[in-house]
Amino acid sequence: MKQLIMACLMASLVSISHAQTQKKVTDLPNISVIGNIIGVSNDHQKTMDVKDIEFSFQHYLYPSVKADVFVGLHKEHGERSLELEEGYVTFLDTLNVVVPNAGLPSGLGTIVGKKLIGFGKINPLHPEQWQFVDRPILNQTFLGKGHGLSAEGVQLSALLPLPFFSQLEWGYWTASAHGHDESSSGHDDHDEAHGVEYENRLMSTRLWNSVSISDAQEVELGFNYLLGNASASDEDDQQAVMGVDITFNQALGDRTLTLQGEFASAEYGEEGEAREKQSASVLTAMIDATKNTKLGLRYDQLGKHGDEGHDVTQLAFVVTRQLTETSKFRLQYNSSEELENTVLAQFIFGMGPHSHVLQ
Amino acid sequence: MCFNKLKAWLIYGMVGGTIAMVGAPIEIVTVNDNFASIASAVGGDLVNVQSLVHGSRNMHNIQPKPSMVVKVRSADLLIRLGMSQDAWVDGLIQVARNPRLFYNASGYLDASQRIKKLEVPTEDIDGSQGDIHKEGNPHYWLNPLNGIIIANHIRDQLITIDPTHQATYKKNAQAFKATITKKMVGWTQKMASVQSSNFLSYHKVWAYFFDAFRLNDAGTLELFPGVPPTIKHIDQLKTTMKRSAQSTIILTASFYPRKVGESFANDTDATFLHLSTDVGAPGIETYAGLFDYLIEEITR
Repeated sequence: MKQLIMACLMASLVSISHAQTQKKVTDLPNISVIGNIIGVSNDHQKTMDVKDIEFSFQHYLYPSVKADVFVGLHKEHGERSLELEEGYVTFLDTLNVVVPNAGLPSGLGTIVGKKLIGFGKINPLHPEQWQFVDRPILNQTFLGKGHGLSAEGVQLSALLPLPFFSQLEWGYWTASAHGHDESSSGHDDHDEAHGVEYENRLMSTRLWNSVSISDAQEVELGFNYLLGNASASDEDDQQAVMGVDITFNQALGDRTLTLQGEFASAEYGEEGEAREKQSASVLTAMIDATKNTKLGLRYDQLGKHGDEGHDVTQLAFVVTRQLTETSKFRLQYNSSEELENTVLAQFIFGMGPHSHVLQ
Repeated sequence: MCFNKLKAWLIYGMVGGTIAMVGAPIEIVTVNDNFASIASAVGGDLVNVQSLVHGSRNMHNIQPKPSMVVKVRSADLLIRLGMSQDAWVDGLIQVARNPRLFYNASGYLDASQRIKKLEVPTEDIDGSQGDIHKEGNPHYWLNPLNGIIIANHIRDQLITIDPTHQATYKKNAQAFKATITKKMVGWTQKMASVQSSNFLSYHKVWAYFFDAFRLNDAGTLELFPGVPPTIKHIDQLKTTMKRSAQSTIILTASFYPRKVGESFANDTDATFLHLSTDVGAPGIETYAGLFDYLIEEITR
């Protein structure tokens, strides 16, 4: 399979190169490469790795049908592995594609394939879209290590007929095998709490609302629910996570101040044990200090899983310097009583056209 | 009996709905107020125009907001800048899922399509040349004559959407053309006073404006587009400008930093102007008003 993906990648790159040389009109997809280099320094680790190289292929198949494929070359435990990060087809107007010219109502969107699950504001994002080098502890604990919780299945979405933005998303998925480890943030897999491990079918629901207060201010409010092993008859075999996210955006001319908070409560059992509750939250503040420099602050909190473990808090400071539109430096310091204090340095670069849907 | 009543209500409902639809204005959403002004001029009372972004902003750096989706989902016509400068609009179209605005549908208008682009690269490009736009310089609305091309494009699209009012759209577009053409004569006469000056700009924002008024483009403070100016490059420019017998005018769009241009002007006795480039900025209410403002500021 990996050889096949690699062969497809090479064939596409050769075709693009040929087309560019010949200056021909083509029907090739938009192809891009995103590189993610991360340096980590704490008492136990001093590394500099090419963490990920992501290849993306994006193409319209039909006026309202788009395909997105993201393949990642990841480094884990010193070895590189090729993984399909996401591969999905988006039907923007499902009913009228399935039954054309029948005058059916428009607005029902469908995504079919492998996708990062729409839970909260951070899980659906790719690493180059994150505001910090690492993901919050909430996400690492409740939504898997690596790049986030992704699964294969179907997601339906529709805008509700309200005078403000309100989108309902519902997905039914098959859980993917766990992604690669993410030990760079100081919250590694030696911690007492392993976090939620999803199996079999997943059901996700998100209600995403947004209200514009003025031309310069907007508030978003999201309600999220995720059920793991959704087809199990016994609740004790299921994993359930409920969450709320709130985002406030204040435009300051060409600059932006963003305040964001996510809270989630999970109920899950570890290694065959009965279900116990655990909660986590994350608060972030990001501001454009200059046209090309962004400053950020993040506060992470993770509660005990039932009576097990201990509360964890962490404070992270980040400064991001946008070098060009597609490349940036980032320096982050994570400080915590319970976890290792860690310095993270990152360089992200991009080549070629690359886009993500509004999240 | 009951069936007949139901049938009558249905007929009344359908007729009433059709009348309401016929009378309803065409909903136009534009990426910014430049296109909103032109669309309002062409559509007149038959359209209701809203823009997603107001004032003088770098369209490439807009953070799309979910509230924009609410405008896009009910629009009959979406007018965008194009040339890969407002890629964030694609995300809005995708979330709004309004079939009237899908690519190549009757409600999708890329205003750059009919424009003769300037500074289109003829060789392969990459980041070593800075942030070069592969489709050419995207600030095409800064040539008033391109405003006429945009107006005609909007006219044609409105006629496709609403053919019953084609005479009105044609008349309005013609009136817009007449206004710009007449004003162009006056603007050109006024700009004659700075025709011999050297024009420097911070970023390549003004190419179409220079082209429209035959101004002398003497270079940019940025050595490469999108890359902050270097001391060496600025020093070289200063030397060149000091040697020139002509006066120097430095134009910086209001969303770019002013310090470099100001300091350059102080050292070389040049005139520095930090100007809005878009309708919606304070004091600029229409597309023609944008050029009234720019030309007044430059020739003051």
